[in-house]
Amino acid sequence: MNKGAAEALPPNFSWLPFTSCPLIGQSLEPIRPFHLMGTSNFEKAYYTLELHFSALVFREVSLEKLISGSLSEGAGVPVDINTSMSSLLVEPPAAGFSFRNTNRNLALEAHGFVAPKAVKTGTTIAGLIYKDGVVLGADTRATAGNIVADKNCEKIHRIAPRIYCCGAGTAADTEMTTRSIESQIELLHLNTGREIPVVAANRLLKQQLFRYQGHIGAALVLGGVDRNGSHIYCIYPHGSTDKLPFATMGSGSLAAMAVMESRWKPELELDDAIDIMREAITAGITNDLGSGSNVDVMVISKDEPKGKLARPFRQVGIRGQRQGDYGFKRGATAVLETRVVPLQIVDEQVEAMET
Amino acid sequence: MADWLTAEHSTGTSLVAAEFDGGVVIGADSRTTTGAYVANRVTDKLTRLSDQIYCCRSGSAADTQAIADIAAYHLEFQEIETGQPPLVNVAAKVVQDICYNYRDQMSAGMIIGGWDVRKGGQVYAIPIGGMIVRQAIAIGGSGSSYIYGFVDAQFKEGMQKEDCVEFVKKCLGLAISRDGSSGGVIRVVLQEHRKYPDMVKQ
Repeated sequence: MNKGAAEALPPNFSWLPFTSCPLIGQSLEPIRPFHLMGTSNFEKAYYTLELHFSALVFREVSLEKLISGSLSEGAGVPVDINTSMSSLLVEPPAAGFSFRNTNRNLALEAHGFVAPKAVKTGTTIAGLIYKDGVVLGADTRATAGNIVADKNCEKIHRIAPRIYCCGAGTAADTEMTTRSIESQIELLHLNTGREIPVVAANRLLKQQLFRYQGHIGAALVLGGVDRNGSHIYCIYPHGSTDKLPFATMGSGSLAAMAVMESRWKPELELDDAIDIMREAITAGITNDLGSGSNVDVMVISKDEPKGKLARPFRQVGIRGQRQGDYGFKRGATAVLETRVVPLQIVDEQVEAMET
Repeated sequence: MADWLTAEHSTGTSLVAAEFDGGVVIGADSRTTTGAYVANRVTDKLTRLSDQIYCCRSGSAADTQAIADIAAYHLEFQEIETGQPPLVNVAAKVVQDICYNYRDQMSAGMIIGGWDVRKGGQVYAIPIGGMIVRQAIAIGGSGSSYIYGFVDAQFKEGMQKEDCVEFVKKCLGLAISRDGSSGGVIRVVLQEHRKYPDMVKQ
């Protein structure tokens, strides 16, 4: 960290992490634009974020200069990360989140620097228990501020063949958290030779989120079936969990909960359960600005070895077919006069190209 | 994103725990709130620490769940090591240690209630800050402010079991009716000289 940073801090400065998005504080690797190609949309968001910050990360910008405003665009000394390291030994990156730039970011923010926003999934997600298992549902809109960042993103993440998890909140956090728990559950399965119950996934998730004290912005609806039956858990970013027969989350959760509260009952048939889920997510899509596009529905039945995903299950707000032809017919406008003016060439030059 | 989504969950709560002749009764409402939104209307705030010891949670849901999980882990470990069911005062001390050591980072008000062979039914209150005190009756959560007078006037030590259950239910009913952050159903756990507790949902 720049030495000037500590001196530039206000006296009542508190040392809190800057953002729930760990990516901002973590840009040691050189950024290669070709990473953008052939990656998922999530990774696109990831690298876009890093690219935004690369100007600050790679140029050792003097904090005082930036704060005093004397820094013109593109100033600062570019530093090649590879050559600036004193040792020739390549150190493996430390595991887990890095908060190395947290305090710098805070200091910058305190002096008016606007940091790029993390992609947040203003979302409608839900889960419910029916007679033979659970149904999970999600919309497919990802937003970054007012912009729809992705019109068809996946919010239903796999934890195990019969445990899935819907994610709301910071897209990067929900993706990485569920992936990490997915591999931990798989290792547990390999070590024990047993199907891992849903409570275990719930414990791992809540302990991971509690450890990071709400800085991992993941709000999850965990659902699955195991030898003990069907389970739905609501997991909040601070690490609290609720075990419920039906649950909704995200910015569209109120609209979806209205449908759930009025229509859910114990021992639902599969058709009715899917119907309720479709209506709940559609309520979120149509009534909440943060939710939109399609409905994804996942059915996990106790009689099936794997959960089944319908994607897209339903497309909301598709353009209808135009009923008539509203174009003017040829000749509808009377031609009063026709005049053709030849181009006048003022000057013509021919130059040989360097090849 | 809306503020109520990112805000921390807290159990704006009504809790009551009372000793009676031969056991304890603990009770709680079932509302979990995030700002003005009821995040869960059927919450179970009476959490098992061991077969014969339960706790009532108030404050941050995440903090109190973590404390209860850790305490339950320690008590189960101790039960395996000693081959004896854990004592209520030990359970309360385990919870209090966590509450006191992390008092600056956590917001947790806990009441421990249970039965053991040494001292019978016991109630320990551990308010925010990590103090610990044994009481014949303890009330907690935001709803408790409304019923201090009622408890002081009506509670008698050494009640019969049925009277004590009715008293706890009456207290919670009064608290819920005046406290906006409390509501839903009343949950009651009865602990007496038996191996497993009765869990009564009403």
